[in-house]
Amino acid sequence: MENKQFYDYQVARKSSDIMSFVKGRNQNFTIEDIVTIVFETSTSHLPYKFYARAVEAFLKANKDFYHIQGTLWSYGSKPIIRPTVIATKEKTNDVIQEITYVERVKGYIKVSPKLTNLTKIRLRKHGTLDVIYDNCSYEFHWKWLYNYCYLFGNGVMDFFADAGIHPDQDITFSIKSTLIDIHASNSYQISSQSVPHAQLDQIEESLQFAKDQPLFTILYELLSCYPYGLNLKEIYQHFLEYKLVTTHDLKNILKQNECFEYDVVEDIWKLKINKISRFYQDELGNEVENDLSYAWLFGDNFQMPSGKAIDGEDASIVEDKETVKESIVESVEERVEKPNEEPIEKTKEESDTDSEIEEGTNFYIADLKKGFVSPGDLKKEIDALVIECFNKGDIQALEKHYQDAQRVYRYFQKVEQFLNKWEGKNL
Amino acid sequence: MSGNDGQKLTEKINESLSKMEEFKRRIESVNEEIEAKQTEIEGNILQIVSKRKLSMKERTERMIPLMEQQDLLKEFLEDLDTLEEKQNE
Repeated sequence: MENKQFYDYQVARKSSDIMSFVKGRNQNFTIEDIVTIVFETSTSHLPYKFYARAVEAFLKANKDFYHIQGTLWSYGSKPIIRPTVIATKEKTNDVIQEITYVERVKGYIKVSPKLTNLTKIRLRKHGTLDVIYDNCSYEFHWKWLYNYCYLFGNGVMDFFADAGIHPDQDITFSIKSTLIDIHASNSYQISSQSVPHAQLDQIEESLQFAKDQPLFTILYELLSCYPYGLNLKEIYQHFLEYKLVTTHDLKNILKQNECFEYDVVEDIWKLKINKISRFYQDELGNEVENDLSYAWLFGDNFQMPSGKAIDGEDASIVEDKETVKESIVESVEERVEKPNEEPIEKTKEESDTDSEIEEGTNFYIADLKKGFVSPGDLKKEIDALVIECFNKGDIQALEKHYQDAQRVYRYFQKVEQFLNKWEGKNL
Repeated sequence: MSGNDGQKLTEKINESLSKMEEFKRRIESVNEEIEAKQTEIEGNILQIVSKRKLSMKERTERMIPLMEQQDLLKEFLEDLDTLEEKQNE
C-alpha cells in the first residue's frame, strides 16, 4: 500500500475513535489533538505529519466537521463562511446570485438568466449538474417551469447547510472549463424583520403540501413563516392545521435540532434559518435524512428524478443543440443520462464485498477442503500397510518411511483442527 | 524378505507426501487471494470515508461490516501461517 493510502486507511479504521474523542471533548479541537491522543503519535515522530495530513483529509471529507479558523476545528457547529476566493489564472465566468429567504427555507435557487446562458442548463428542460463547494461535490437538479429555471434537490439543501447559508447571502457560481464552483460570500444581514411578506406567503402556501412531510420539515417551515417566533402552544395550534401531532413530539424535535432556538426571556421558539438541514433528529431521537419534495413548486404529480426523465417528459431540447457552439460546460457530466451514478448508492465493489461478507471464510474453507486428506483415514491405510510389511519382515521399508508417515499424519491432523475451527465459526 | 512387500507402503507414503505438498501450494494460493481481498476492502473503506454525502451514521454502518470482515480474514490468515510454521518444525 502507498504511504499516503496507508495513513488514510489507518485514519479510516480509527474514525469511530476520532468521533468519540471529539464528542467527548465537547469543545473545539485541533488536528494535533487527534494525532497525539487518538493515534498516540507525538509531533516529534516521523509518522506525525502523515497522520496529520490523513486526519485533515478525513475532517474535510466529513460534513460533521467544520474548519473554524487557523488550526481549530469543531464538530457539529456552525461553519465559518469563507470569503470569496479569487479566481486562478484560468479564465472563469462568475455569476453572483443572492439566496432569498424562501429559497433557503425550501432548498432551491431560481436561476438567473446569466447562469443559464453560461451553462448547458439552457439546452434541456431538466438535468443535473455537479457543483463544487469546498472541495466537495453537490448534485444540483435543474428544471424549467414556464420561463424560469430552478435548481433544486437534496444537493442544493446540503450545500446550503454545509455552507451555513443565510437568507440574502450572495453566492458566486464560478464557471470554468468543465467545473462549476460555488463560493459563499460573507456579506449578509441577519434580520428577522425584513422578510418580504410575499415570501412568507409563498412558504405558507407551500405548506398545503405538508401532509406527507416529516414533522421536522413542517415544523421548520411553519416557524419560518413567523420570523419573530412562536410559543409552544401557538406552534401546536398552527401545526394541527397541517398534521396531527402531540406537544411531546413537538418539544422533542424542537429540543434536539440546532435549527430551533429557544428564547428563555420571551418563552418562544425561533428558527435559525442558516441551520436548516436535511439531517435531523426525529421525535424519537433517531438520526434521519430527509428527502426533500418539490411538489409544492412543480405540481402534485412531480416526482424527484431518479436519473430518468422528470414527470414522464422526455429530455426535450429547449434550444437547437446545433446552434450552440461549444458551451464551456459542454463536457460537464449530465447525470440524467447516467442513471447508475447515484453517489449515495453503494458501488459495485461495495455490493460485491457485502455478499462476500455474508459468505465469511466459507469460500476459502471449501477451496482448502478440496485438497484435504483425512488423517484418520490416512492412519488406517498406513497402519494396514505397516502391519503387512511387518508380517512379511520388511523392516527396512518400515524404518525408511516411519518419519515421513509421522510428518504427513501430523500435518493433516493440524489441518483438520484448523478446518474444524473455521467451519464451526461459519455456522 | 522381498522389496515388493514395502512397495505399497512406499507408494502410499510418496502419494501422501505429494498431497501434502499440493495442499501447501493451495494454502499459498488462498493466502494470496485473501491478501488481495484485504487490499480491496481497504480501498472500499477509503472510498466510504471520502463520500461527503454520507452522514457519520451511514458511514459507520457501511464501514463496520467491512472492518469486521477484515478482522476475520486477518485471523484466518494468522491461523494459516501458524499451520505452515508448525509443519516446518
